[in-house]
Amino acid sequence: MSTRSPQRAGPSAPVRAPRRRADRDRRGFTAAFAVLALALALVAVVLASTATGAVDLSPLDAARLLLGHLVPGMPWMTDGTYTVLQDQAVWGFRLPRALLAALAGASLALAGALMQAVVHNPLAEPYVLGVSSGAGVGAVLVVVGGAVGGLSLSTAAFAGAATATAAVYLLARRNGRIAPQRLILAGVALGALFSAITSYLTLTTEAQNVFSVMFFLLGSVSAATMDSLLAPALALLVALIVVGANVRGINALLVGDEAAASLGVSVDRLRTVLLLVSALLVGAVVSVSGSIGFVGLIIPHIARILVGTDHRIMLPVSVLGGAVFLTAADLMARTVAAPVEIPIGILTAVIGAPFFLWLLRRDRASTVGMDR
Amino acid sequence: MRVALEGVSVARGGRTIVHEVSVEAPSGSVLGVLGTNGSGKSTLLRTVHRALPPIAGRVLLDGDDVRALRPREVARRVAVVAQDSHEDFGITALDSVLLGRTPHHRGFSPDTAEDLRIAREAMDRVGVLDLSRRQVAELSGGERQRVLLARAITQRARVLVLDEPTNHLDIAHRLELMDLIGELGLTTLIALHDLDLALAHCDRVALLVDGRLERTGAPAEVLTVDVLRDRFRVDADIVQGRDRPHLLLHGVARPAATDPAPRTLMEGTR
Repeated sequence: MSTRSPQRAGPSAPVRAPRRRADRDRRGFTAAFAVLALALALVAVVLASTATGAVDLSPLDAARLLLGHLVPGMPWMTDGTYTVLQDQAVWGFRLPRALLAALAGASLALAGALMQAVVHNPLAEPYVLGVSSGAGVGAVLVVVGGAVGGLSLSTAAFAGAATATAAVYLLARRNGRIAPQRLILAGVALGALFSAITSYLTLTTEAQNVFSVMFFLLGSVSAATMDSLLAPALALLVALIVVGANVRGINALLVGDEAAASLGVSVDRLRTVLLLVSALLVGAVVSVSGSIGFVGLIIPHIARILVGTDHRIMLPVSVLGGAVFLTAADLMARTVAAPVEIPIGILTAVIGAPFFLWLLRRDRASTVGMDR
Repeated sequence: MRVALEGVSVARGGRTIVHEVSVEAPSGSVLGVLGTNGSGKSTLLRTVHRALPPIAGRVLLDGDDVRALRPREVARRVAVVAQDSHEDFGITALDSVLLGRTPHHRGFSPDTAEDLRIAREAMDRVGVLDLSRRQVAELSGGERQRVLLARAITQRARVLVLDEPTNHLDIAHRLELMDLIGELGLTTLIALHDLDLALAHCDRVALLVDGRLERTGAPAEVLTVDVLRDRFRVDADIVQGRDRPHLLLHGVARPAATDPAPRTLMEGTR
């Protein structure tokens, strides 16, 4: 308003506009750079992962083997350059494992970012709806009681996750509206209930089962096969399409539900859609890799610190960042104490927590509201 | 764009708060909605941008019932400056203002140069262009209020709904805000506590008492000394200023006949 007075309108508008435009462009540049760098990093870490292990290979050899499987007619596949053992290690074991880690990291980071936006809470994470504890009960029932009604562990885990999500959703819904506060509290309460069941079942089962249960609860991608990638990959694809179509609505949620509604966003519908998408992502991942913690909480925050709050930039950075982070964590999980494998959930916290704490202390963190 | 409320009743939590209010704002006019705390001003205004559904009656925007319009279409026609603002994760003022373009785009697309131009122009107009990169959460109440107004202008709607927009603003900014509303030339519905501003800047005012429309008309006709005493509990005079009438407030009006007899100190301590 003040700039409409003649003596101020002159200098302020034309002089400042170019500088502001430059600021904005620089941010666009940072974002494009971050996405490109993360995409390259993802390729590099997947390649490193396929090359590393008991059967030793160079990254170049690993790349040649992968290329040979993707493009028919490569000479080195048939001329005896590589042994069956090497081929099996790269294509049969390490690649599915690296890809599952990448998919899980991407899905959990995306689900975490969505949950934080939907419930307006920086502490929200993929498991806030009690999904992981629901999956835990399903998995433990199979481990303890044997195949319940012929269900495999991953099917039982998915059923548990779906049950928990449906229960939290129904509990949080009143008069056709889902209140964020009620949603979080219902999720926390139900999570506690499910965890209690899991703990009881774990403590009362035979000792040899306890290790399997712990391994599931801490998460692992070691059982990955190409077939097991299908469900999480489809879930991620569906999620990316839905989120892409609604990303402006997600941005509008940043200024509150009522303001978003006045900007033409159907807030209740959007919230329901995003909850379903998160549940699908998390359910698909948890059923094959257990509840890997911490990724979904910190990666979105790191992305915000790096590129700001706009979800059109922040979500791609989160998805790629989550993929890189978890693939690297898995590589470390199976190499630092080889041949013993460390559960990946331990690695995510051990690497992630100090890095996040360091970032949290930097000035940049205060630009996304971390000083409040 | 003409806004017409026809027999609008609104209930919240099972209690009817607004009763059969009919009032209209012709295209380009400023309608002040007046009343004491709890008289139903905000509740009534929220039906205009579809935030609350009326239990009876309807709200028409150029003849179209708002409830028949899609949310996006309502947002293209009506922009809102609400009483309280909320922001997650340190959103910047420019990003917050740019959200005003939300109803004009779909899907995953970057902001266009045109979006940026509209947003900056709006921010310049309300004097917050310098704050573009600051977090909204760190701004003062008055600065935030002006960022919200810039977002509403950026929305490029033909109807503007303002709920107590002068809260948090200092006197100069209040007057500038009211001048700006006049310059924008939009159909404006504005809930106001500052009756002197209403007297000067509204084309018409609607007085709500306990959720019912008590009077409607030109500000000088509605805001009389009697109405101020009986409906707003203030002892006031309307005096002629340099160019227009002003409200001169003396204090809280005391109903003369029903004053209780003063109690003695002794009674108080027993």
